[in-house]
Amino acid sequence: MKKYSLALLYAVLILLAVLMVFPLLFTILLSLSDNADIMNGQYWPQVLHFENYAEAFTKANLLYYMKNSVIVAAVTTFCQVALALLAAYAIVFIPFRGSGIVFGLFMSGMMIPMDVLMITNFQTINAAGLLNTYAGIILPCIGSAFGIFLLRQNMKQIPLELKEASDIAGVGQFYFFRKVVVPLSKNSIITLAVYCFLVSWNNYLWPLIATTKDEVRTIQIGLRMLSASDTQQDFRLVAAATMIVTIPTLILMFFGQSRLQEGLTKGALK
Amino acid sequence: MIKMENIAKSYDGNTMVIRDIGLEIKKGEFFVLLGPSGCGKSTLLRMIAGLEEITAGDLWIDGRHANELLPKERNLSMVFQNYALFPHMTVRDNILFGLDARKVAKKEQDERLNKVAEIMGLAEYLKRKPAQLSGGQRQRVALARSICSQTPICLMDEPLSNLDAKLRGQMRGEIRRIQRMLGLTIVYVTHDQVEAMTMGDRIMVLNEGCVQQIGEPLTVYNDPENLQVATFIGMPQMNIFRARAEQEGLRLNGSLILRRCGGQPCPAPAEECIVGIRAEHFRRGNESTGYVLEAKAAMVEYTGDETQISFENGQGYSVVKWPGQIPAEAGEALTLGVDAEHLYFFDKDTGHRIRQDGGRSQ
Repeated sequence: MKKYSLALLYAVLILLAVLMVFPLLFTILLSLSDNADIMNGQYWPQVLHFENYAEAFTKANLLYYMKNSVIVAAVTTFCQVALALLAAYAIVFIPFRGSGIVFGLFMSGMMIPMDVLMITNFQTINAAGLLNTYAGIILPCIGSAFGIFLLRQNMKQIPLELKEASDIAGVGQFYFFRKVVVPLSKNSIITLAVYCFLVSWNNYLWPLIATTKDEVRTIQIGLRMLSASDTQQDFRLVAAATMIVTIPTLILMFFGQSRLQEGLTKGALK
Repeated sequence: MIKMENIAKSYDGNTMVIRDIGLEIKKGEFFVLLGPSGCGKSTLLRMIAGLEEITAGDLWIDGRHANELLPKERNLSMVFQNYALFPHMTVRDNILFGLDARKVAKKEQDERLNKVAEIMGLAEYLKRKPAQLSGGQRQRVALARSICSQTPICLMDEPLSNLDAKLRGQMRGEIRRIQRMLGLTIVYVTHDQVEAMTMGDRIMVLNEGCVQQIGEPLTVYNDPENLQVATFIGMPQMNIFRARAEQEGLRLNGSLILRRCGGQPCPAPAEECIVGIRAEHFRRGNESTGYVLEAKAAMVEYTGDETQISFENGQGYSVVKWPGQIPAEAGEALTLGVDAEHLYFFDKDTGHRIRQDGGRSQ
């Protein structure tokens, strides 16, 4: 009986895994094919066309968009982590009247989807004259209720005695923050940074809305323009470019996976 | 060094967890706050440290009014029950933590570190992390940090409670030795009466937020002010009986009778009261000059160096403790003598000590 249920479990898991991985494998196949083959419904390449990648790189100007994406994602990540760290620290380690309410307000922010604020954000950015700038893309994204929540959960596990010992020893808030809290929250910080970088890297709608010119546009928009600008859909190039764009994601996932998992589940167990 | 006047603490404004505490701790004194868990002793210590606000009353530290001083301005150090070591730092950094903030020069820091590491036997562990140390070593690091800060006052919150019995005994002596050597003023919180008796210059027994008694360990043991103190201090616990004065002596718990020998006066100060007798104050046989109790042994226990015999008292069991290995068996009849000065009388309602003839029971 136990054996069968295990077999069933694995069958379900394998099915889900295939469903998940299929788009990726299909994209890889397409990216190595000839366009004529694809049009004929021949999805299994006879000859591997690695030159598709080189063509995608030059034709779609990927490098240029990638540079923008790296700047936007890196700055967003840095600001988001820094702000979330400071906010979480204040909530956990600095007792003040209404800290619970402040935290509740932050959390309620988690329930409002970014898309709802798109129009007001646009108006704000426009009024500030920040359309078509990195700042315009980055600023609305640097506050992260999720980040505050994640880091707060982690910091709450730091024994309060450490703060008290620091108070008695006479070190200041910032010293304690820098020397104790940040090192002890390392895993959660890395988790948040990876997560934030990925979200920012994959962000499509807001960078599109906040820009009208190509100078500051990010790679996801570049990708979209590749498939839209050609009258005849060149699937192999789109697929190749897509693969290139996913590479940073894959690298981050590969190296950060264990930490990501640990960081996301850590607070949950206690 | 530390002076308190009418100190009180309330978290919600209604119920007082600490009431009307007044005391003065002298420089270089080892002062123990003793009490059962939840009696407010840790809260009181944290109020001295500045980690808890003082609801009412005045606190002076080294002559300065300290109610509003920040913890760092009070010039003291603290050893926590869980040691409060920084898990990501080496032993060295843990010991020296905070000295940068106090602007102690690097050279001076190294000198202090070497000296303390030597005293505490930590020299070879300086590069390790706390997780790689045993409980006793962690406790030493916590102590070393406190010593390294060179503050005149050191507060300790049950520092030995996480150690096993053997290490605890060893550390008791060690803390006392270092305290004497450096002339530290230590305020030490514990619920362990052995620690209090062996380490303290003076003990304050606290219960439900109120001072029960302040005094030297032997005074508190020999001359308890009330039932709380009498039963809290001493192992095994002092035997307590409800006593009623009768013609031939004292009726204990309505069953046993504590008979007068010869022409002794009736011992009870009131018709009904509570009488306490320490286990070691019972004598064997009729050797007593005062009173005699006939009982039946219920259980005999040997620890090797002493013998404990319990007997039924009408409402439970009482214990007799004698040095050596006394041959006895359960069911055997016991004749127990008690000297008059070893009877402790307490008011049956308030639990206050009733002294006779102006301190005969000293």
